Amino acid sequence: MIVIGPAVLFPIILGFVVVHLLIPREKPLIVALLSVGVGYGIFSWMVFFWLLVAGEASRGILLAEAAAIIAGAILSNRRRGLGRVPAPREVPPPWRIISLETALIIGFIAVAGLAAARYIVATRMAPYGSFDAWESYNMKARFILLSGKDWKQLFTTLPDPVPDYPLFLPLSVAGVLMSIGNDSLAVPAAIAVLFICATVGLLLATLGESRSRSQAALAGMVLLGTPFFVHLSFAQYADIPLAFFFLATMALLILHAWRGPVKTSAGDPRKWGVPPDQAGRRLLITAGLTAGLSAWVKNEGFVFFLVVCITYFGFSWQALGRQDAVRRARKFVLGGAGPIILALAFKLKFAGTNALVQTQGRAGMMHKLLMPHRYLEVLEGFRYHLYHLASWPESILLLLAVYCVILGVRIEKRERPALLTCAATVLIMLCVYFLVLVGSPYDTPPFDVSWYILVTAPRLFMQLWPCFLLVFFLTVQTPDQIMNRLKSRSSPAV
Amino acid sequence: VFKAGTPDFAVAYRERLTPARALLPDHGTVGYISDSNDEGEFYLTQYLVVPLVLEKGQRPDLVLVNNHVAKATLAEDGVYRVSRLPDGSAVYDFGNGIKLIDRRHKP
Repeated sequence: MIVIGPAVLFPIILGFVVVHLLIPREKPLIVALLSVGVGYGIFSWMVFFWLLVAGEASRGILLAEAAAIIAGAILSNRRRGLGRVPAPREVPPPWRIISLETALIIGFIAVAGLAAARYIVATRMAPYGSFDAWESYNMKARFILLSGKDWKQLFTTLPDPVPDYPLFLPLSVAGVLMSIGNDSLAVPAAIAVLFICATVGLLLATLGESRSRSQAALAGMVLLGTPFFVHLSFAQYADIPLAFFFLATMALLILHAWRGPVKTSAGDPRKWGVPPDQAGRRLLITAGLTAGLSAWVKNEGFVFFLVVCITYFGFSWQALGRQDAVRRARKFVLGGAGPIILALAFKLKFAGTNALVQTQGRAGMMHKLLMPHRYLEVLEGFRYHLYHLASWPESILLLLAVYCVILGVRIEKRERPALLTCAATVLIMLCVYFLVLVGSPYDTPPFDVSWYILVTAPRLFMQLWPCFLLVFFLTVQTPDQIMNRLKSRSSPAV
Repeated sequence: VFKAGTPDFAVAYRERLTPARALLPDHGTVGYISDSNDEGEFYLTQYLVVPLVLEKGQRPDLVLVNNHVAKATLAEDGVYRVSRLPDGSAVYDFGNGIKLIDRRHKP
C-alpha cells in the first residue's frame, strides 16, 4: 500500500497542475476535486502514447508523469504574475440556523460512514468487482501490464465483449499498475474510491458554493444514501467516473454563472454590468474539457458533449443574445475539442465495432426503432426503474417531488441558462438512452428487451443521478431560506 | 448483494482455476471448452489467465475444460491426476471440474 498510495495520487497531482493552470483563482477544494477526473483523463492518454512509443508497459511512465507535473508546475509558477481574476460578487451570508445545518452535516457524515463501511465489506468479499470490471476494464488493464510487446492484441485477438469501449478506465488502472511495477487488486478499488469521493465532493462543493451547506449536506446524503450508486463504485464500473465527468461539466457551468459577469438590473438586459472576465472563460474551457473527457470514459460521453454544446448555446442565446451565446459555446467547444478529437481518433484507428450494431447491423437497429411495441416495453421499463430507482426502499423521486412541493422552487436569474442547460441535458440524455434500448438487438426471451432494460437502465440512470441531484437542489429552496422566512414572519414588526 | 457465507462468484472461480493456472505457460493462446454457455465464466477465465489469450474451442495445443457436472474427486497428491487420451495428449484432472488437455508433447 505504501507504493500504491503515491502511484494512485500522482495522476491527481498532474490533474491539479493542469486544472490550476486553467482556473488559477478557483477555490483549491474545487480544483482538487476536478483534478481527480482531469488528472486521470490526461494520465490515461499519457499511458496510451507511452505504450505506442515505448512498445510495452514499463515503469518509465513514472518519468513521463513526473516530467509533465514539473513542466506544469513551472508554467503555473510563471503565470503567478498575471492579474487576479475579479472576485465573485459578495453574497450576503444567509441567516444561519446552526442547529439545522449541524444536524444535516452530522446526518451526511453518518450516511458517508455507512457507505464507506459498505464499500469496505463489499470490496473485501468481492475484490475483483463485478461483471464488467473483470470481463472488460480490469482484464484489459492486466493484459496491458503483463503482455509486454503483445499488448496490441488488445485490439485483435483478446476476447472482448465491448471492443468499441474507450480505454479511460483500463489505461488508468494499467498506468498505476505500470507505476508500481506489478499487478494489484487494490489499484482499481482505490481508483473507484477516488471517483465516488470526488463525485460526492463536487456535488457538495458546488451546492455549498452556490446555495448553502445545509443544501449541500442534504444532496450528499441522498447521493451517498443511494444503494445502487455505491454498489456501482465497489463494482468498479466506469459509470461512476462517467457520472463524475457529467457532474463536473454541469458544476463548472453553474460556477461560471456565479463567477461570471453580473447583469445590471436596470437598463438594457442584454448588456453586462461588467465586461466578461477571464475567470468565466476559463471555467467554460474547463467545462468543455470535462465534457470532452467523458467521451473517453464511455460512448455516452460523445452524446453528452454534443447535447451540452447545443443546449448551452440555445439557452445562452435565449437569455443573452446570439453574440454572447456564440462566445460561450466557442469556449466550451475549445475546451472539449482536444479530448473529443483524440477519442474519435481512437475509435477510427483502434476500437472495434459496437456490439449493439454488430449483432444486428444498422438496418436491424432501424427495424427495431420502427416497432411500436418496443417503445411501450421500454416505457414500462423506464417507469418501473425510475419509480424503484437505485434500490431505494421507497421511491426516491416521489420523496424528492414531495420535498420540492413543500419547500418550493427558486431559480437565480443569472443561473438560468446554465441550469436550463443542465436540466435539458439530463432529459435529452434520458431520451437517447430510451432510443438505444428500443433499438437494442435483444428480442428473444430470456434475452429480450425487458432483460436488457433490467441490466442496463439502472446503471444508465446512475450516470445522470448526480447531475439530477445538482439541478434539483439548485432549484428547490434551501432549508435555510425557509427557516429565515419563518423566522421573519414570527418576529414582531418593528 | 452478498449472502452471508456465500463466496463471491469470481473468488470461488479463481479457487477452482488456480491449480490449472499454475501449469499454464506465460504467453500464448489457450483453448476453452465448457458444458455451459455462461459467457461470464469465459470472460472471468480470460481475466484470470491474462496475459494468455483465451480462444473458444479446441484449436490450440492447450485446452481448458470447464465441467460443471463432474463430481469433485481429489487427486492422490491433492493437485491433479494425469491420464492419456488415445492420441497421446496428456489430460490433467484437478478434481474440481477443471481439466487441462495438453497436446504439446504427444509421444
